[in-house]
Amino acid sequence: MDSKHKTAPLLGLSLALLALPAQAATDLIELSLEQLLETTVSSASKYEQKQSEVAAAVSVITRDEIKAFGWRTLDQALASLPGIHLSYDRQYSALGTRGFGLPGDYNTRVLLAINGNRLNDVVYDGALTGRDFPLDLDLIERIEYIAGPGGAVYGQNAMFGVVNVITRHGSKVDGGELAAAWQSPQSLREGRLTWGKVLDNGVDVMLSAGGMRSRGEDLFMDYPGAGPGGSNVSGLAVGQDGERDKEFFARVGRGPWAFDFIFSDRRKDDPTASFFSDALADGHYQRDAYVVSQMQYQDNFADNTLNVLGRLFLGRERFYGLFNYSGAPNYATGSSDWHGGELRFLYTGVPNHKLLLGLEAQDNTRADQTNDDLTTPGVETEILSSGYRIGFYAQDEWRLSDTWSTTLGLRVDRNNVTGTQWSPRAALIWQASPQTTLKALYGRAHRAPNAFERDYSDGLAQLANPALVGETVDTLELVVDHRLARDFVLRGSLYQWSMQDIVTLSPVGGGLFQFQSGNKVEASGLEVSADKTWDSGGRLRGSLSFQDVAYVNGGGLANSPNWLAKLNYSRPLPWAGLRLGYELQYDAKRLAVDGSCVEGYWLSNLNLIASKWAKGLEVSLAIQNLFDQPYQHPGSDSSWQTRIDQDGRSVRVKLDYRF
Amino acid sequence: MRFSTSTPTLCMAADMNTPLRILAGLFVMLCCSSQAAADTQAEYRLKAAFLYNFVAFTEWPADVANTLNVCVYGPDPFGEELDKYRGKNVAGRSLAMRRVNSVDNLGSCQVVFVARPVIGNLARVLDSLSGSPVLIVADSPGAARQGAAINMSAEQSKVTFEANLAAVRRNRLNLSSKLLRLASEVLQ
Repeated sequence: MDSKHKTAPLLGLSLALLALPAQAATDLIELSLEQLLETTVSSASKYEQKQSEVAAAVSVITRDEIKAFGWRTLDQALASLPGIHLSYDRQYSALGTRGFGLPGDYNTRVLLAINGNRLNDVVYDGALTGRDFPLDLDLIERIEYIAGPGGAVYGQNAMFGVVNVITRHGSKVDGGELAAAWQSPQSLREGRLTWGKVLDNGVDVMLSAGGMRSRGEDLFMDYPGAGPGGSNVSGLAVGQDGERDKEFFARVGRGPWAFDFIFSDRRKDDPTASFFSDALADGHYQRDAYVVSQMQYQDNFADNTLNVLGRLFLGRERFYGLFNYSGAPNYATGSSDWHGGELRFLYTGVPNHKLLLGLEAQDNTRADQTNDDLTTPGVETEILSSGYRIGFYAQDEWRLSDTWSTTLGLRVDRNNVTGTQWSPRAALIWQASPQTTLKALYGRAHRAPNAFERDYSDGLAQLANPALVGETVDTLELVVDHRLARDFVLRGSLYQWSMQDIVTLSPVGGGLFQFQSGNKVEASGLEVSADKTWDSGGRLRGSLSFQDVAYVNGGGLANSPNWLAKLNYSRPLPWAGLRLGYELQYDAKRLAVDGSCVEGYWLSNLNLIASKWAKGLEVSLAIQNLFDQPYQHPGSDSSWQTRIDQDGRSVRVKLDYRF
Repeated sequence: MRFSTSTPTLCMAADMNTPLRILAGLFVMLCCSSQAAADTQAEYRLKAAFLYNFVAFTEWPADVANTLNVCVYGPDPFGEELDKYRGKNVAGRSLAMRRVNSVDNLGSCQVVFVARPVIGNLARVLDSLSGSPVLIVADSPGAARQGAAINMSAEQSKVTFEANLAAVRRNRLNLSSKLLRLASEVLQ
């Protein structure tokens, strides 16, 4: 009990739980049920107070929600959060965050991690969130999303948000799982086999393998300027939208140790003839394969006042793309190899302070890019590169009084491209009432240009730019969290961000492009969200976001809708023995790269789950784009199309069997 | 920057270990800060007393053995609090405590407490114990609706519980009228 009295003030909390006197421990046995019901443990509002001290707007998507809405890709789950909009160019899915989502970008300004292990590769900085994300969504315990800059702790890529995906453990599988699904009209088939257990010796094991194959849709595509003499080409791209994916996941944990290994290999056929390749030619594809692994140790020391985390990680990403130019197949590759380690200490031994110190180092042993005209001997373009990053960070969460606290943090990064960069953050948090918390946040984040942006040059489409400098984003944010009732929460967030030296693909004449540092971008926005639950098992969450992003010297950004609205409703339907999940999303109109307007749209998705038809079996029916709404997303600068058609209504049946 | 395992704002219904944990970093899953541990200890001291009462107010069929095995399935949140009830006499039967990691090993249990981190496996527990005289207790939102016999929740500083009488009877058990009267809700 002593340790309780000693440690609690360190974390700056008045201990309502002391309403239950220490000596009551034995007396509880003697209390009647009526008396127990009147015994106070610890105030729920104190819990909330603790949560609200977090110096960021954190969102969590749980496994229950992933099931309830039938999400099969990470982008679908993230699209339910305020301020996130998707765009899909039939090769990759991209996250737009707080109005920022350059067409053709591979999510380079969002850090994506699995169990804390970074996925962004070292050639493209890519954070892939479609089927190319290397983990089946059914293996996820929860998804954590911190909106805003995370550079002060996480360094590279954490400019607009940090997504951390926490996997399930063997203990949360406890047996076998077999899943199979069919989706029409894409002729998509997928399957997964998972096994997990805590063995008698305490070792937690989980293994999973899965795959999918889809024919895709036959799309009527336009290729303006792709014909002889710059004439237009259009036609039905038959059988050019297929996709296939293989995935394997293993996790072994025991006590403070955990090891995970992730493999995936996804190939997507490309009907758009991207990078101005031959229109309507068969055989275009882009393929991404990952191997990501880490060994992690984490434990508490010094009477639980010191938490130590150490981890060693390695990653490997291989990109392969096939593009035909004037009938000649052109084979492009990008190869990333990296490994490194991180050591982090969290110390709560000084009253009213929570100190974090960390060191992270990553050796990028390989960041190679090639381009090969397969009709000629030899590889035409071969750009070999390597590099490193090292970051040191420190942070203090300082409780100033019962109602005020502050967080101050700084990360210093050094890398082989942009030298030394400083990423500070500061937060002031005021618990205005037991129901209301106000936070004022400031943060800065950097991103060094990646090998693709800086080094790639093939003389056909892109020139290198060794003078390219890194991007910097500064963000100011005010967050209000208010609890209207036990089961009804509101959040408002008002923010401003500005980005210096934005890296964009720019035409340099002669049909060539080059990544260049652009003008300053400024943005402001407001996100309002509500979350209501019912004891009957229902939940409604919704949000409305307004975001206004523009270059300071005039001109808007492509793929930046001003308004986004989200609504997610789930509830059991006991009379039918079903669970219903319905989502509604509105994306307002956005600019295409040619300055024209891509219309806004409403989308509805519906999911129904039956879990009582047979022992161990769950059957679900998912209808995406319920009302068959036609809609488009902006194409990139390196695409024939300025707008790209999206899928109409699709229907999926999925069976999940546990044994 | 810190991650919470869940925020009350956007994660109320489903997440495990809900508000009890505060985490201190994306790459850190700080599973037990001292504060959370202290809160948890007090809460589970009380919940252990409730669990003892649930067992005492359950009507057990005559064919149930003289020792009632109270099993905690998943990571044990009670620590030593539950062991204080070891050997206690309940309606002529004595209590024994067991920790169980897998549904495969629930066969000898008369009471199963499903810990929050593994509440996602409740369906598996129900699959394997349906029809057997076993009292299934949980403390996760919605668990009674999903088939647990009794589900506790900590609200406004106090612990309350709901009962699923249909689930209790399916397992050939009954709950005393006093227990049902004190439940915040009884599902029929």
